[in-house]
Amino acid sequence: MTVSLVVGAILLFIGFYGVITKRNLIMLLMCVELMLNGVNITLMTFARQHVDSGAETHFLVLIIFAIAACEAACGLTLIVTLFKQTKNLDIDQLCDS
Amino acid sequence: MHNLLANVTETATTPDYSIVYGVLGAVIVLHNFSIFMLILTWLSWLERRVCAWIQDRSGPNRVGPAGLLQPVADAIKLMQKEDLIPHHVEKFLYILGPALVALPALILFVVIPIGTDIPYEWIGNLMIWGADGVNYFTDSFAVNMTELQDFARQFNLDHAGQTRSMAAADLPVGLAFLLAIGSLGVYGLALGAWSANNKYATMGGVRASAQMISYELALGVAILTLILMCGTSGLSDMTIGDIVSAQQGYLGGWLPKWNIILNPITAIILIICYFAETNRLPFDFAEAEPELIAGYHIEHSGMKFALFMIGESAAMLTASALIVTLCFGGWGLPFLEDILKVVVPEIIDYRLVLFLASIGIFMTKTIAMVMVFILVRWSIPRFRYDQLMNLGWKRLLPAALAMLVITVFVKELFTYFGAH
Amino acid sequence: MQLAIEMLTAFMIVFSAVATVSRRNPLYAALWLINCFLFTGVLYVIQEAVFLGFLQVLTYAGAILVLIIFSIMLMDLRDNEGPKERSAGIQIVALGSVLVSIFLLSCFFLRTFESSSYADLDPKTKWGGLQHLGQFLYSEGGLFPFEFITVLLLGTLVGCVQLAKRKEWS
Repeated sequence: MTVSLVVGAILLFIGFYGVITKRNLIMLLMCVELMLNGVNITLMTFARQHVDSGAETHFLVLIIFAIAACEAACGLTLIVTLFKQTKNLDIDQLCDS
Repeated sequence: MHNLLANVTETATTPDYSIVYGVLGAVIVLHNFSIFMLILTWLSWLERRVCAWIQDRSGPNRVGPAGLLQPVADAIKLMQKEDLIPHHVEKFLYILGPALVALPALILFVVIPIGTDIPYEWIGNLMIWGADGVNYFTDSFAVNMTELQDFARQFNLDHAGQTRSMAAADLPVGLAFLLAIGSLGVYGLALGAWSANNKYATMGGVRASAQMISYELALGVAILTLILMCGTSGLSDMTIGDIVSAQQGYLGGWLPKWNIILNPITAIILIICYFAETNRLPFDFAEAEPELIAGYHIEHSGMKFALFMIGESAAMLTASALIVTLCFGGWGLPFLEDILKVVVPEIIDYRLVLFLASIGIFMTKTIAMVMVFILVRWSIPRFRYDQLMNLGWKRLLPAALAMLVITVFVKELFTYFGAH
Repeated sequence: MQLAIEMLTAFMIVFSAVATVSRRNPLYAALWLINCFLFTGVLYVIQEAVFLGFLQVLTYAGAILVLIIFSIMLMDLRDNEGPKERSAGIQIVALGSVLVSIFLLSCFFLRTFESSSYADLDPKTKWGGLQHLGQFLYSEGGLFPFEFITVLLLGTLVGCVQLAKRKEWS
């Protein structure tokens, strides 16, 4: 169980590193998905540990899947539309202009 | 992990034969795999002969008897071609693309039950009983049996008196597996197109992947409708074996309860979506119309092109097997069991004859469905891209959703009137 | 045995995540992310949540990443045309802080949870499978969030179509 918890933590922080360091908008989106995945792994590990609590934690993980899907869809629409306008995916240049 | 490894039903207990179950599983896996590969080899021959028959000419008939060795000749030709990697392609994706096209089709075949379930007691009866009542097969391993039994029990392998499904792995979430692995089929196309570093190939790949993901929606809803209709055993699994078993009854005593008869519109939506998922005509957009400019496999030659074609044939074969399993009653034939009960003499277990017959029936039905795929390919012109997307989003998806609602409604009506 | 499989899966997840973040080409990063999500699905199956494992593969690897790869192909992002990396200083600071955080959190987990194995589970109860989640989903605990997610998905659909239709952006 500690293996899974450590994996969840590692994924969360690797995603965080990616969000801070990357300038490409698509890479940012992918690192945000990585963070959400880390959170999901931690939640599933705790759900497996506390077996008597019912399915609430699994249900929360399902909701996080759905929300991640919505967020990826909206984010990608915005990115593609932005790219069509400005031909630029660099977040520093987009923030400065 | 326990539930994944349990392909069993719960019945009475008899002495357990732990070591044999692993062997039986391996035999079934090898058997299914070889059936798949054998049919796959001659699929291109079948396609070329049927195409020639439609076009009123003879197909390949030189290479062997009736041209049956033509696939071998094709393989030799393609294998001895120079394995060329142009310098302008993305190397890794260029090599990965063809492999990814074939992989989901092969993986999906794992959950399809080829025949009826095998009761484990048949394996027990195959063991050698001595005159003194000693089982010479298991008793010679008596020293290691306790360790083996502990190991088997840990993985829930000591299924005594139960049956093993003829799918290589009758997963408890078989239908979710269908959708999950089916949606991985997009990657081979997209990555193969991208690796060509060619704007036209990229656009072709983009359009093809958009087509595939659009038709996955209607496919998912159609499969959901079929699950709702057939119900599941024990409420906690959705195995594909359940859907096949639910189709083995009769309506009013004579009509088989196949899904094509019970719910024809959903079955037709399913078949159309599988045409689109496998990129077969009339949804042939990825490899035909861009041929005027480029195709998604334009830069691949030799063995890689062969692997693309094999992947497409494998996808067609798996799709036909799935359509047969989900809509046409799988391995069953109406009234076969009743006929066998009467006809087969008492010496042989009629279930053994039924088992052998069911494998043949499944293969026949699958090849018949493959013939339907081929006939449609050589008869109907292909859709334009906007017609294709229009069909997927504006017609099939609302139709599938409407059928879902109607199915629920009708099922509730039957339950209500059945209880009164 | 289960621990060995779990550690192998965990190693593959972490390896894929590090590979994702360290690629310059967004398409290769997306491919490594697919790998990460597939192995996460395997991890969920090891943790007895078989249905959620397949849903993970279906949603993330089969839908979200297809969408990401589709938009990378649509925008034709090749390797040498993207933005350059941030300065080395920021990278080193970020890497250092991430490593320190991972170290602290791992120490916390390893200290708090002494046993590295899960709670015992009776395989007959079919915990974590389809029925476990499904009965909760349609009972009073989970019905309202379920319907709310339905509305959210509908809103996303409408919103994305509307965003993509606008010709001008102010």
